Amino acid sequence: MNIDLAVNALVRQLELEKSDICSKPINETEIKLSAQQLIPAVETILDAGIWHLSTITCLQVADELVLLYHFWHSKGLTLCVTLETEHAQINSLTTLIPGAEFYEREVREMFGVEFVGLTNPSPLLLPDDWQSGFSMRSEKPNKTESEA
Amino acid sequence: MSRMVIPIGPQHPLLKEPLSFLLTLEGETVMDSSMRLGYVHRGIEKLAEQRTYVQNVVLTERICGICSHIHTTTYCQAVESLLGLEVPQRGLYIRTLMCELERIHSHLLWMGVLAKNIGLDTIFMYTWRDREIILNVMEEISGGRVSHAVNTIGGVRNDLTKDQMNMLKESLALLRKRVEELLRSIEKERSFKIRTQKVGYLSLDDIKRYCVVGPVARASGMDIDLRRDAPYAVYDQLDFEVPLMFEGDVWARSKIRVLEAVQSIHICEQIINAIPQGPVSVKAPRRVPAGEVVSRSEAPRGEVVYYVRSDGSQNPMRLKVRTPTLTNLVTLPKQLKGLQMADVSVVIAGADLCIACGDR
Amino acid sequence: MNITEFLFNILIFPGFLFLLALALGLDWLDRKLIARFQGRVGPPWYQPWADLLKLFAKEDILPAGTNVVFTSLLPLLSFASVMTALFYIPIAFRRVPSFQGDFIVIMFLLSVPSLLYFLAGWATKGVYSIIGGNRSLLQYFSYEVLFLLAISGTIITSNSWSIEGIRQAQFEQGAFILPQIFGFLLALSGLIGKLKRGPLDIPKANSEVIAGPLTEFSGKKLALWILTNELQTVAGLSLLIYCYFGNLWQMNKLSGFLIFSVLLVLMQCLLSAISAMYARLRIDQLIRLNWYLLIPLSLLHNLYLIIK
Repeated sequence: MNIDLAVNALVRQLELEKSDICSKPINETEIKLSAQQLIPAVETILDAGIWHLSTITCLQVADELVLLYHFWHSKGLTLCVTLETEHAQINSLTTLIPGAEFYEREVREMFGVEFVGLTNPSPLLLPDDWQSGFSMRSEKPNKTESEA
Repeated sequence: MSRMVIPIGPQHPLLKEPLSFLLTLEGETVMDSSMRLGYVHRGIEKLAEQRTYVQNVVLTERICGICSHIHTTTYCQAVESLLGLEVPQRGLYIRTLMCELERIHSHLLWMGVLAKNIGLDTIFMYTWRDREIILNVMEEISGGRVSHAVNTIGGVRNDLTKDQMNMLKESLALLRKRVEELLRSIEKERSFKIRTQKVGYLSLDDIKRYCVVGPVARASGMDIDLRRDAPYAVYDQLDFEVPLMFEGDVWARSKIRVLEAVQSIHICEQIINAIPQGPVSVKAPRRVPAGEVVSRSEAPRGEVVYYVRSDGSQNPMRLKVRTPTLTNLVTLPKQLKGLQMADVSVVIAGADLCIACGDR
Repeated sequence: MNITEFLFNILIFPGFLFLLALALGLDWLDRKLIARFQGRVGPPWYQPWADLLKLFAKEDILPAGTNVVFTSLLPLLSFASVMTALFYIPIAFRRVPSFQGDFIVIMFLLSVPSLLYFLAGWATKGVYSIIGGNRSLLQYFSYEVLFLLAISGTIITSNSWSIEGIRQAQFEQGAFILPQIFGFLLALSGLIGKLKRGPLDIPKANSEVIAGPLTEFSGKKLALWILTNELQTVAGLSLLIYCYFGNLWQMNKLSGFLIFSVLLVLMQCLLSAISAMYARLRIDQLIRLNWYLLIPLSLLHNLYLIIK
């Protein structure tokens, strides 16, 4: 029930459109946000008592990077933020949720998203002298979903 | 007093898998620590994008050497929900049975590692001996001791025979005795308690802030268990308790794990009695419709999250795996700070790390 | 005494080879017993010999920058001091030179390896070695005091500073084991610390400091360290046997050897059982236990003996 309350609070505070909210299989709700809305949205969610950030997924769709913040409280709630691949930059959640540190560091290394305010930006998985770019980015852009 | 930086890992007797800590010591006290992963990073998420959905069942099984079954379970669940497949009940029961056997196996194995790290080799030998019972059962059912290859998209590959059920019943009875003995010894043994109590304390607030999952969270009084809160497979038809403790130290974590093993034995016994007849799997189509899904399940170490995105082709467009080890690792620098050097091994063991899971 | 007999005495019986056999035999017993306690099969009787031979055959490596002469001297010196101590302890029915105060000499010689062990940590410069060395020194200051205090109960009662004197006193007063059972147990726990056996294997706890001061040692030097430790076990246990069961046999009798062996085996069983039963203590826990509980207890015990 908490998830529904949180979704309502989000809609109220950030003045979201109905089309930004869609439900996915296995009790999952997805909300599309802009990069600037992320921090206020997470604050709202934390206030609603949803403290568990499962993970942050990053994926490349055409020349855009999509960041998915998966929250959970008996049901799933995913915040979806889309960034340009070049100079991808977003605010870090580590001050609000210290547990996000490793997820953000992993995304940073694998996809090259810059997290502003990340508490510890040293390499986590890759060696110090890693030169070969961002290994999880696709070499040739994927087809977008609509094309498929 | 002068400071000294000592490396723990990537190769160190206390670590079973490569992981690197740099501890800054003042005398015997840990002042600071930093951590590096990636020594067993195999790029599984990238590999999965180049393989078909069926091939990925084999791939996800290789993520972890201890909880291999829970990975395929979570992955198959995700793909099945994308396909809209209804898995037959008998298949789900067998899937759940393997999950629980694996949980007992993992908890016993972990208990041995902790005991070894505090120099209590006897408990290490005993738990690993008892773990053999589980491994034998799993080998009998699936043909594999560690990688079981039981799951497939649409159900499971092996059916349970009458003989296997009888063997399982006998093994569980024996195991119940052994696990209860283990529970008694960790409750009573003074030297074990001296070493593990009040070590690696995490408060309920820390658990929330660091998004900790699994037995570590439950030992600090956080009442979460996906098997009960968001039932998957057949957990909604089974009767079990979620043990909860409030001490938040390594001792509570070890007791929680043993209590969970007792519950898992209870669940397995229910499954043997309640398993329905029927097919164990349905045929799955090769192509998966476009869509995305987040699948969660409760591994021995806590919540496993799979994110699968399909673009309608033969291969997934993105497969994201989040293992409980990664979440629980974040708390280690906090737990280690201010500890004695001797307690480092206790805390690291207490988090029940599976580095291969963490790195993927 | 002709030269062949002299060489035979020194090298074979009751000298070097005999002591080696005794030490490695006890080591095998220890490993076998612990294995049985833990539900394992355990090694065959020749395993300690094989291990030792293998280590002697291995390449000897030291980290760059260590003083080779100094680090080589350390295991040799500790081996020599334990061997010397053993020549003053009348193991089995061996006759040894006895004089007033040989007890102190033995205690000193037996504590030399502990100090050298600490130096070994500093000499090899590894981080684990240094931490292990510090720990061994800390541990040294607790168990050494305990061992000496506890065993000096027998000196008080027998009013003699020689092993032979303590033994003779027991012929008159009966074995000290019964009236001084607490002293015996305290001395035994001191001995566990001295031998760095579980649960007091703190300086070489492998999940914490790998092998402590010996981390950087290999080949012959490591073999000598291990041998020293095993000989220390023989020395420590025999000392306890003489101080607490001294009246059970006369010198130079086969029965003496048998009784001695039986007691040695029994004590080794006790040590192995304790190793198998308890988790390793932390160094601060050990020191607290020692100075707050065990040492005051042994002081009280001695006070009681003096008053009596």
